[in-house]
Amino acid sequence: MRQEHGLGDFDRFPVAPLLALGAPDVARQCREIVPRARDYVARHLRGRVERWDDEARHDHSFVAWSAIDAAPKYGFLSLYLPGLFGGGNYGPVAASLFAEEIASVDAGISVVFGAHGLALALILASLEMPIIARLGRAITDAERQGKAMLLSLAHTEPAAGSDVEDETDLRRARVVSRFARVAGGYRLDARKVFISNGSVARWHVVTAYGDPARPTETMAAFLVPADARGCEVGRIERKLGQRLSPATEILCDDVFVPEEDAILMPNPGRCIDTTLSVTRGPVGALSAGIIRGVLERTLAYLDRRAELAREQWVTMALADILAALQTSRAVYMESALAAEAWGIARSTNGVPRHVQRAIGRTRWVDRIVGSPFFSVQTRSRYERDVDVERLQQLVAHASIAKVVCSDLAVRSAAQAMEILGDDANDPRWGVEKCLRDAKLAQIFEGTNQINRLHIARGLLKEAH
Amino acid sequence: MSPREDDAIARSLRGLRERRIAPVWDRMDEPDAVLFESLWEDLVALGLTAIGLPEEHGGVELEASSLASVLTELGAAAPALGCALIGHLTATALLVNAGVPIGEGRGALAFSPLDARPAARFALAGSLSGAVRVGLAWPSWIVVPARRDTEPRLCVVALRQRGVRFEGRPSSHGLRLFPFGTLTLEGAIPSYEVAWPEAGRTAALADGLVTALLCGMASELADRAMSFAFDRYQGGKMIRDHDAVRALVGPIELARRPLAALALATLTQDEPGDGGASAFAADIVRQAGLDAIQTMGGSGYMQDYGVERYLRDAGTLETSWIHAAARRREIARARFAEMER
Repeated sequence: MRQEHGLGDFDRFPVAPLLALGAPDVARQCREIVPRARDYVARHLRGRVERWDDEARHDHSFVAWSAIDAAPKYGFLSLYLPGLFGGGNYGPVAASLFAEEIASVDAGISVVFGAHGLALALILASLEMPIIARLGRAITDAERQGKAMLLSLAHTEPAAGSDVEDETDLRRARVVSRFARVAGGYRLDARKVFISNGSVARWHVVTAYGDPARPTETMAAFLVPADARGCEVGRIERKLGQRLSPATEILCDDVFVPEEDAILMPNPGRCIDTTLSVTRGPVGALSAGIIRGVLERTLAYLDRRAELAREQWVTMALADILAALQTSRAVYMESALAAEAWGIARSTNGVPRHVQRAIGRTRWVDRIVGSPFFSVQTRSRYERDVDVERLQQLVAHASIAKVVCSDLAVRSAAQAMEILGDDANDPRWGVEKCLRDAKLAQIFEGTNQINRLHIARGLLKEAH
Repeated sequence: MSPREDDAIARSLRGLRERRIAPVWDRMDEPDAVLFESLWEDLVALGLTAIGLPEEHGGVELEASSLASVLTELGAAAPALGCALIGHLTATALLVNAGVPIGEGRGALAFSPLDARPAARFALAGSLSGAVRVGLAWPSWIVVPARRDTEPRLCVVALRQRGVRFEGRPSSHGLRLFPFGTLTLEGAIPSYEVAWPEAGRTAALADGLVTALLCGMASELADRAMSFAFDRYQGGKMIRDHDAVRALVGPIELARRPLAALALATLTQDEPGDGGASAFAADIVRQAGLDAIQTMGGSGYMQDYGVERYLRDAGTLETSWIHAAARRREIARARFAEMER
């Protein structure tokens, strides 16, 4: 597939020169991450994903291990960890560009990293520094050894899908996963469904409730090793698309979790909203990546069909798809910039990178920043920096990005299929795969309907 | 045929669905010649492979409503099987129209049934040559549109003969019960060759049958989405009580009646068909597929709930037969030409 259109170049974003002036650290992250992701895509994904997609159709337990195993070398699993914990310290803008770049070739692989980021985001949002420090060390140590220590967030339940994605809805959700205090830790019983990375994660971040009748007050999260006694992968889903992102059931039957691996959230609602404020925007970016993939694949097809390429209706459809790409980029970038400027990244990544580098990563730094005292300090700083209203604005921005971009992705893929006509069913072109992949972006992280309700809820509050 | 007979047809097809199609539903998402043959035999046993043809040609003459009823039921039960039947019925109707004896076994077309008009896809000079991309459900003979010099000809080609090559593989999208690929004719000798018949009602018949099939798909999507929404709880109430969900399933439910009426109107129209009804229906059904999945959320996205296949089937039907975008432009062009006259 040809790349000379330069559709993915960061410098094509009008915001690029402004970022270089006003936020040079963010601009530098973007200039680093795009070529790094592009190199990964060229070496490990391009030319393979269509074949893998077909393999996964026949064997839904298929995992693209070569793509996952190549990720540590690129530091993809520690991108968002604060530098003080050994991570890349990348913020929401770079995270979005990363999601777009990978999704332009395969949305499923982008979701493998996205689901890891989602689990990490919930832990970061809890601001439980001892766990963040320990997990951060484990992820970066594994990465240095070339091992992919992937996480999954096991949050959705059979009778509670989009309900668990929002504080208000969570109050009325029919959740069943529960935990109970025992000597030295907790006992966990949970049944989770549609868990991305369920069969490839080394650790599951499992949410459960002290009292399922009072979910918002009693929600907690637990770090559960994939091989913990009582924890198993249940059904592996057979999906319409995004087949390279395995989705499974996660079943926890009386699993013991030591005290230090439990995250008892003082304010679960705020924790959920904080997570969504940084993870829904990248779903928009992923959708923009799908649109880019649609455009690149269609242009590659038209290279071979010169006569068709000259038809006016084809030109009009291409213009629509390009406009969809530009629109979706503008919308997700707005959300990412808002999260960068006002979100949790300020509180967790607040120390400039050069200072972090100067301090280095030593045991005593881990001890200080990983102390409960540091958690309390960071949490109060975050609550001071980002009040309830600001947080809701951030979630609304992120939801808008998710809704607008995913709707545009589905529409663009359908338009491209019309251009390809009879050849749309030919797996070599991969355009129909983009439609199948795009559909899920309208569903996960809360359906677009639920997201619309959240967006409008903030609006009506402002109107009153 | 009376409404009672229509009901009897619908009942037999529902029985077929329950007894024969439902148990192999999963397997029907892969090309499988043996499975297809056994399902086809069921259609033959029910007399469905000769419907709409004159009795003197061994056909079973049905009224338009009964024809629509058959394809609507098949659209709900197994769209890919319905497509194969439409291909066979259109091919047979074309032969009857051209005065060519109907061949034994299953027929198919080397073009979309909605385009049952002269086309220059193959050259005829003693033998046939050319290539076209089609989906073929293991037919025994194929109707091929050809041109000898400038004259449009209708040819019938037996599939198993020298000079006929079909390299098929599964569609990566929908209608995966039979393979798609390139049919290449190089020196193939036609079994029959006649002048392309006068524009009859064959294209209108195909348009009506495809619309009826799409109506059945919409109907099935509505049933599945609504029964899911009826039973599930979310956001403090049943899913069916959410305006957001009603806004999704309402248009799917609404699609049934106008599509049924459109299919019937197309099957009874006097004009040669232009594929407009199918193009209109395809847009509605593709959106219905997307909305049904959306209604069911993560479950709708999973193959086990059976809805996603209708979206894929509608997409492939749209891109390989209906070509809605091109057809819309063609319809406008024809209308302008008419105005000019």
